[in-house]
Amino acid sequence: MSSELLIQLIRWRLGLPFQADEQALRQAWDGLSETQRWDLADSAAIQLGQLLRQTLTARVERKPLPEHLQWASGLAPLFVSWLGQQTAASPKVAQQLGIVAKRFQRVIADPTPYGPPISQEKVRVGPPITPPPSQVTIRPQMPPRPAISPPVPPRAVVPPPAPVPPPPPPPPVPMSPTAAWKYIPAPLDVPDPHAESDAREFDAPAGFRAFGARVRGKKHKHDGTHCDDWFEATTVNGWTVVAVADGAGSKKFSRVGAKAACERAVADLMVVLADHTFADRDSLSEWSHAIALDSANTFGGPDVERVAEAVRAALGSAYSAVCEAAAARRNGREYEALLNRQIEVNDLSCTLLIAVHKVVTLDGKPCSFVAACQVGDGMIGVVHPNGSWRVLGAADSGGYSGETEFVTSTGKTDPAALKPKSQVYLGGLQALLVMTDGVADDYFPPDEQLGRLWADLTVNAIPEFAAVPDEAVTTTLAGTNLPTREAVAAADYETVLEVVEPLPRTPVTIRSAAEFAELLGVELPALLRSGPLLTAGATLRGPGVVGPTAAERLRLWLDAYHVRGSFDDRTLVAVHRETLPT
Amino acid sequence: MAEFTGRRLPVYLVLDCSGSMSGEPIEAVRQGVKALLSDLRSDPQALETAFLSVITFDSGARQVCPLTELMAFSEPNLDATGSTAMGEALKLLEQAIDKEVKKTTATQKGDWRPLVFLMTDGQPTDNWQGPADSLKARKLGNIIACGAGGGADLAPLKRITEIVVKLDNLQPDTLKQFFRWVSDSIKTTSASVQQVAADGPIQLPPPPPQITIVP
Repeated sequence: MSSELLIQLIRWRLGLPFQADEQALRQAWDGLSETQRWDLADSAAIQLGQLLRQTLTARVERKPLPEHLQWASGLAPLFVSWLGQQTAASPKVAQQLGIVAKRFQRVIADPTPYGPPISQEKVRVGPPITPPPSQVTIRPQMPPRPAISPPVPPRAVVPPPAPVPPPPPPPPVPMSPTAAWKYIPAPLDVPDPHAESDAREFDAPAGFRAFGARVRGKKHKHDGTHCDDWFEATTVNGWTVVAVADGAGSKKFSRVGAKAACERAVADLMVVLADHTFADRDSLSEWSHAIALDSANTFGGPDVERVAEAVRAALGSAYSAVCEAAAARRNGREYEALLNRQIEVNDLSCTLLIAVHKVVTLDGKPCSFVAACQVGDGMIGVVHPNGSWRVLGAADSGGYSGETEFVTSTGKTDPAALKPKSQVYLGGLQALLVMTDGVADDYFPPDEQLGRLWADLTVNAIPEFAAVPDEAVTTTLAGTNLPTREAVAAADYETVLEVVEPLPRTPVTIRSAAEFAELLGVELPALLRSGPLLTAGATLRGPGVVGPTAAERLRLWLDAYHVRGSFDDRTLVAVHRETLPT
Repeated sequence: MAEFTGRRLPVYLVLDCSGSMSGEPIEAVRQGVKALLSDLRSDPQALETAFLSVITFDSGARQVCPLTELMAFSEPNLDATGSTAMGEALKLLEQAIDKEVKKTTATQKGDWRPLVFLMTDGQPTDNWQGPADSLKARKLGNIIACGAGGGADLAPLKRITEIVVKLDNLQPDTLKQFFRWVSDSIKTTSASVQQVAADGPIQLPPPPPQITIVP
C-alpha cells in the first residue's frame, strides 16, 4: 500500500478530512489483517505523538501553529478520547502516548482554539465527538494484545462524506545560511523545563518604555537543549530595574541558576529602591560631585553610593539564590540520574548583569541616572539622544577563548571584588541596553558597535516611538544621498532570513542600519541623533520586523538575524525614551 | 560573501606523502580528505566556524592549501613520492599558524586554538628534533599525531604531542575510518569550543577499533 494511501486511511479512520475515494479506503481497510491494522495504529500513534508534541511546543512558545499543523489544533479532544479507548495499546506506544497525553490534559481543559479557527464548512467530521472529562489519567498498560477488537469502533468515528483537498505544500525554500540548522524542541520531560523563549514589555516611569526578549540559540535548537538565558525587569518608585543572566553552556542546569539569580536580584532591588530618595540637588556641580569616585571607589554622594551598593548586594544575594536553588534540588533523583552524581552549585553557573534607571533633575530639566554592575560577559550600555554611546563596565572574560567568570566563581560577588566594578551614568538617555554575550558578541568591539545595535533595532521598527511629522522626514532626507521618500523605498539595506523553527520556516526581512547609513551618506552617530532619518529607515520600506508589540518584534529579530559563527542564546532588554531625537 | 570576523576553528592536516604511501594508501588519503570535507559541510557549526589547511611533506614540505573556509575549499592534488621531511613540515606548520591564526586583541576576536592532525607512515628523514621541540614548547594548538601502519616511528610523534594514535595498517578501510574520526573530532571541537578553557584538554570522540591510543 502506498504511504499516501496509508495517510489517507489513518485520516479517514480518525474522522479527519481526507482525500481519497472512500470506497477504496473501505476496501483497503477490509483487506488488512488484524496484525496489519495494529501496526498501522501503532505507527500512526507514534507519528501523532510527535506532531502533537510540536503542537504543544508551539502553544507554549505562544507562536502561531504552522499551517501544516492546523489540522492538529482540533485534534486534541479527539486524540484523548481515542486514547481513552485504547485499553490494549502496545506497551511502547502506550508509554509514549502516556507522556504526550499528560501534556495534553492542560490543552484539553482550555477549549479556546489556538490560531485561526478552521471554518466549519471546510471540515466535516460527522457527528460531534464529546470531549472527555478534563482529568483523564492515562495509565500505560502492559496487557497482551486482545485476540479481536479493532482500535476504534467504526461507529464512533464517521468519516466525512466529501473529501477536502489537503493544504498546498509549502513553497520550496531557497538555500539560506540557516538551512543546515535543525530545530529540535526543548525537552519537556527533564526537570526544570523552561519556555523556549520569552518576550515582555511595560511602561517605565517618566516617559520611558521597557521591552525585553530572550530566544534559544541555534546551537541549543540543533542539539535539542534548553535556552540557558533569563531576564527580569520591573519598576518601583520611579526606578526601572533590569537583570539579565546567561547560564554556562557546559552546565546542565545553568538555566535554573540564571532564573534564580535574576528573580532574586530584582526582588531585592525592589525592596531597597522602594525606600530610596535622591538628595535634593539640581546643579551640575552638585551632581558631578555626587557621582565622582574617591580613592576608595566610593561615590561622592551617599545617596548615589547607596544605589551602587544595592546593585552590588543584589549580585551577592543572587549568588545565594543560586546556592539555595542547588540545595533544594540535592537528593533529587532526576538530577542525580542526569548527572550521575549529586547536583552542586557549579551545575547552575551563570553570569549576571544588573542595571537600574531613574529620571532625576539636572539644571531644572529631566536627566537619566543609571547604576550598573555585572559578573561575567555580556554588555550594559547607554545611547545618548545626540547619537553618541557609552558601554558601562566590561565583560569579565578569561583572555584567549572566552572563558567567562560566573556569579558562582569563587569570590566573584564579594562586595570588595565588586566595588571597583560599579558603574554610574548621569546624562541624556535615548536607550539603556542590557544583553547577554549572544547579542554583545555580534556587536564587537562594544565601544565601537553599541550604537549600531540600537540603530539596527530602530530601523527594523522594533521599538515603538511617537510619530515624527512627515515634513520633518521629507526635509531631512533632502540633504542626504537618498533625497526623496521614493529613493529610500527603493534602497537596498535588507536581507531576507529565516528563523530556525519547525517547517515551514517563515522568512523575516532584516534591515542593516550600517548599510542604510552608508546609502544615506551619513555617519552612524548622525543617523542615531536624527529622528526623521531613523523614521525614514524604519517606515518607508514597509513595516520591518512584524509583530504586535515591541517585545514580540524583538523576539523575532533576535531569532532571525544571522551572524556567521554566532549560535548562542540571545537576550536583550531595552529601556528607551518614547520619543525619537529631534 | 562578507569577510568572517568571528572566531574561527583553524584545522591543519599535515600529511605524509612519501614514496611508501604510493598506490592504495595515497588514494585512500585522497578519498579520506574528500569524505572529511563532505562530512564537515553537512554540520552547521563546522560549516560556519571550521577553516581547513593542508600541509604535505615528502622530500620537502609545502602548504598545498592555505587556511580556507569549508565552502571555498578545493581538495588538493596529492601524490606520493620521495623521502619523509617531517622536520620541514613542522617548521612550515609553525610558520603557517603564526601567519594565519588570529590572536585576540581589544578590537579583534581571536580564533580558537588550532586543531592539528599529523599523519605519517614512516620515520622522519630530516632534522626533526628542533622543530618538534619548538612546536611543543610554544603550545600553539592541540596536536593529534597518527602513526599509520607497522613502519611508523612513534617516538618523534611522542616528542611533539601527548596525543598519539596508531593505525593498524594503511588499508583503504583503515584510512577511511581515520578520516571519519578526524571529521568527528573537528565537529565535536567546533560544537564545544566555547566551553573549552584556553589550556584545557580537548575532548575527542572515542576512536574506532582500527585506531589505538598510544599511552
